[in-house]
Amino acid sequence: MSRFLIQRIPLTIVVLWVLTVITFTLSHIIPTDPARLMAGPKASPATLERIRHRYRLDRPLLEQYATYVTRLFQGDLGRSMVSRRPVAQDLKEFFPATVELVLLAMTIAVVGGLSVGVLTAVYRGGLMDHLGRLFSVAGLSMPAFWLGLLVQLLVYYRLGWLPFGERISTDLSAFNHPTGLFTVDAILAGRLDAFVDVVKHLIMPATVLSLEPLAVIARLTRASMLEVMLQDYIRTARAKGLREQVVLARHALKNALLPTVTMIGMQIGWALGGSVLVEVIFNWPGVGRYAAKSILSADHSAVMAITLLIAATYLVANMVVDVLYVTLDPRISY
Amino acid sequence: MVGWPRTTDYHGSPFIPLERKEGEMRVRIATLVTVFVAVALLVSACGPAVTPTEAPEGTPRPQPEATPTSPVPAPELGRDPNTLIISTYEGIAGIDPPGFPSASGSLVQRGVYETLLTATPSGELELVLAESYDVNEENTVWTFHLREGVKFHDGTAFNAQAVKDNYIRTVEIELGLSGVIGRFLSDPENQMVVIDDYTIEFRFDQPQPFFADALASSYGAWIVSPTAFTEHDVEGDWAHDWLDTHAVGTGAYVLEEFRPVEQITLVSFDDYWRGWEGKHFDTVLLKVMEDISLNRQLLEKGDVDIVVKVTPEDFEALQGNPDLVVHQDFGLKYTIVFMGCYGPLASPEARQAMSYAFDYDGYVNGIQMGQVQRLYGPFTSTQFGYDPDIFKYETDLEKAAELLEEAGVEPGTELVWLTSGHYAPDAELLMQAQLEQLGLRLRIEKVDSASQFTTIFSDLPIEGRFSFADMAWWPDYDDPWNAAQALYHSENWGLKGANGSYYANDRADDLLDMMRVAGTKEEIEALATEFQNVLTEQDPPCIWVGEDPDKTIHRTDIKGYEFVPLYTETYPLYNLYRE
Repeated sequence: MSRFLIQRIPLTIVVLWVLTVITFTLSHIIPTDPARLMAGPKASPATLERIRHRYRLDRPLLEQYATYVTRLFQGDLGRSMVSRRPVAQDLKEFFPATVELVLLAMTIAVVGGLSVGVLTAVYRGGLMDHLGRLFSVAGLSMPAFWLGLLVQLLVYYRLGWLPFGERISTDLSAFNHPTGLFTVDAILAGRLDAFVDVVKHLIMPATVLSLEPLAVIARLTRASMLEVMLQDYIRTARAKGLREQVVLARHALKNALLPTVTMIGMQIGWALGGSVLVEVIFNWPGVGRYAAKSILSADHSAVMAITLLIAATYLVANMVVDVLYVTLDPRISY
Repeated sequence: MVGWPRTTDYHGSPFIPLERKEGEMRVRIATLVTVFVAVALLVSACGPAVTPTEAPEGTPRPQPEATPTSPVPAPELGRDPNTLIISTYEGIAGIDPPGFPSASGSLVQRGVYETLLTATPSGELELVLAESYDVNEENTVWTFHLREGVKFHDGTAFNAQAVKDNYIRTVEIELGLSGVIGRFLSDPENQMVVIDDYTIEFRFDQPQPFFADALASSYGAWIVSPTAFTEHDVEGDWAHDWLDTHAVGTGAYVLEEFRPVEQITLVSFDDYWRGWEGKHFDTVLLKVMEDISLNRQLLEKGDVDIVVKVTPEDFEALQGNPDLVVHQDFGLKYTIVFMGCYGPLASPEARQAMSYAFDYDGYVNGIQMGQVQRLYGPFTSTQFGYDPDIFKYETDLEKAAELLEEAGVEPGTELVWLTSGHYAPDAELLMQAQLEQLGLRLRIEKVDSASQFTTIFSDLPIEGRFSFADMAWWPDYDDPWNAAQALYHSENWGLKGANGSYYANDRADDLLDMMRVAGTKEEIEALATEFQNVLTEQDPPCIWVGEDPDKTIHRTDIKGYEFVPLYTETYPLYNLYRE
């Protein structure tokens, strides 16, 4: 296992490096002028030159790339034109917000998806199966941005049950945020009122974000369960007189989980990317919303950093998934 | 055994047989579909009613007519009443005064900084950090007597030296807005003379009739604490990086928290020179909400107090809400369509033809639902120097065809419209329909707003440039030269300025040069009249599309709001209060 992990690290680095080349090249091909964007239309040519010189935009592309990579290793991700702050500082603020959102969304997706998948498989052909499959198809078909607007209109505007968005109510936000995960920070600060408020703010965006991965996981779990339930060892388990719940949980589900776990890893990546629209709709101050703003403002430094961050998170998530295989199936070893 | 197990085969197994009577299956599916459709209909019915109307002739697509809905009952204000919450649609990128802030950035600056003078709703100037000022007979020496006892947020005393140091910084930092004051102070060190602690003189070689107006500008004239920019200077950057995300002024509010993509927090400055008698807000929150369609919901639910922008449909719908006050005020902001003065549109006749071709009614009354008013030239109707007798283009395709023939523009010629949809949404579709009737083709290039902005104000060779590009604009202060110089003087082509049309008209250049050095406002006004005639009837560089109003909406319990034409989409935060 250690050897496996050690072998994966250089591969991960290579993937990330290729990504820097691609994003750097693409961001410099797009016809924008960061100096003009920063200085405005009335800035003199001398001012524009000074800005370009300051940010090394007047250097050859290869030299700019080399400088970028060197600074990357020093933890310097450049300065955002959108926020006028170091990109690293921005990401430190926005990334935990996205992590919190995605974590809850994926928790809902995994728990919900596995439950629906198992139930629809077990009650195959029945009403539960039809409802479950309808739910899955709906989850896959409805775009997150449309669903988000609809949910916001209904739950916030019409019913007034939940806040419109953001992470926390203004008058409850005054406590330390050491982790950036407001749920955790509220507990650490002993603020139950803030914790409840944060959860209320999380419900709508997390639910909307969870629906597509939930649908995917449900469908895959169902198919996988149906296949596993046909196996001889299941018949054997039943023949031994085990209760059906034990057969399903210990024998069927565990074996059915392998492809599902792979999909969960991929869905984490989807959720990170899919959070852009959800964060914009719910005014969630996460990396997705920051990415949307950065892309529209041609903020190259921020765009490249966000791309690397999401890619790195995705790669780590999939590495964890690979490790989980060993736990689920002892026959697998690296 | 082959096939699925039956429930009777395994004790307690919930597995059900696969075989089903076909009829039962169909009934179940039908029931599920019916339930789903019913739920979908129910959920859709929860939204506001929108009734599509017949599109006026010439519009490219039907515009839904917004129907006012029953207002959501006024909520109890379940939050701190001493906090004002404003929803702004733009992120706030950089608030250093000589930099290039967004409109939202100016909103912040207006809360934390002050100028020597300020503009009033009627366009007059009133005193702020200056208690009085005198101007000599020749209009070349302006003496300001400053207010005593004023402090910056960091405790630094406001005085004449602070003013001088600040304006030296403003000019010498050479950023986007340095020219607002820099126009008057080519030698700031010697032109500004500190007479005593609270008296400063500004000396000019020639009369400067608009100097006071420039000092009231919300672009570049704010006064920053010299201690702040001295202490935070890094490698001679005049503390620009630091002041882009911090603010130390004399204003009523202190910048407490700056999260530019999310929220800005301002809190009252205890030592503010005007004091805090009467009603004022303790805290102001500026929330960045890019999705302006959310603003209506936030207002009606009471989660924000003021919004800067809503969609045209929401603007219509909110008019009837008794809990809200809807303002529509026309100031100095407008929308134009640059016409490339090269290629097929090189000749004035070709551009006159385009000015006759555009469907003004379709844009103003169709796309913008009557919420903008016609712009007829380079200045809005509230701008000093505006000529109400200006030549006015109206849609006339016959005239356009004649002019095209005169200009030698062949049928089948392709033109290009560069847009992001941000400034004059769908205007390009209107034009496409019009040009088709004239036998011309219009290719639309849709890009993001950053690309559009930098492409327009770039030195791209003419071969790669657009024929049309929409843009919004407003002057730094109420001076026709300031409003026009950057956009229309031939010395401002490409990277040198904002002349995105690559317009070059000798008479227009001469008039602008004369305006710059004219000694009185009356002279400038006369020059401006001829200037407008050149840019409209004779040689138009742009299609003059619309004057854009400030469409501020606030809750009825918010008092003290006043629109000042010079200060687009910003508010006098100190004057606002809740009742």
